[in-house]
Amino acid sequence: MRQRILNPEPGSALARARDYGIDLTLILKATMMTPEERIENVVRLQRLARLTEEIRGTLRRA
Amino acid sequence: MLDFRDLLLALLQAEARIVVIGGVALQMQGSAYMTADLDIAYERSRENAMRIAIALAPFAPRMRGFPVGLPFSFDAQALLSTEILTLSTTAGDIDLLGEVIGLGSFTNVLKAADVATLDGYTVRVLSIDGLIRTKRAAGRPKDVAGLHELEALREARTIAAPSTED
Repeated sequence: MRQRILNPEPGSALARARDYGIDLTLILKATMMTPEERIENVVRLQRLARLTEEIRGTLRRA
Repeated sequence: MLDFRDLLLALLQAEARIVVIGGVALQMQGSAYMTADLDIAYERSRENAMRIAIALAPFAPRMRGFPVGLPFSFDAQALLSTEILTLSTTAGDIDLLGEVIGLGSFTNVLKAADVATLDGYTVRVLSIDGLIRTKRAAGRPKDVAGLHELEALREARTIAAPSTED
């Protein structure tokens, strides 16, 4: 399964995504998560977004 | 400060009939897309609008993009008087949509939703197929990358479904 996702067949949606610049390792990781794990991941992403927003608010020229 | 969990849990605890759509749904379906707001499709009944208004009241919702002091009463009538309400709250930005492009009414959105669990509550999340339909219908340049990713996720799940090897 891992190899079929990371080394997709030519012409497949995965191959098109890879050629577009999508990181297929992230696709693989998401595919292996349960729905609940994906929700927890969203919460982590939102916390990350909040952190970056806070830091962005303090950015200034050195 | 965005706390998506607080907003969503408040709506779920109020038993509001909602489906998570937009960027958070994309993330929930495995996308690496980053978003700063929570998009929610809701059933446009008076009872449901009241549940949503009561659930969100503690977060002091106000119209996004308008002066902070502008009088605004967030209640069921405010929800039912428009198809889209874009709000800022103390827990972050939330968009409430009575209809969704590419899918239409809440009934159709509900049919296109997957089910997951958050802190013991059932949460409905727009499916990959539903997200693809909305992105195709929207047809914006920024949706192209999202479509590639969604179609790859759909294909990867098809590959993963019959086998759990390695």
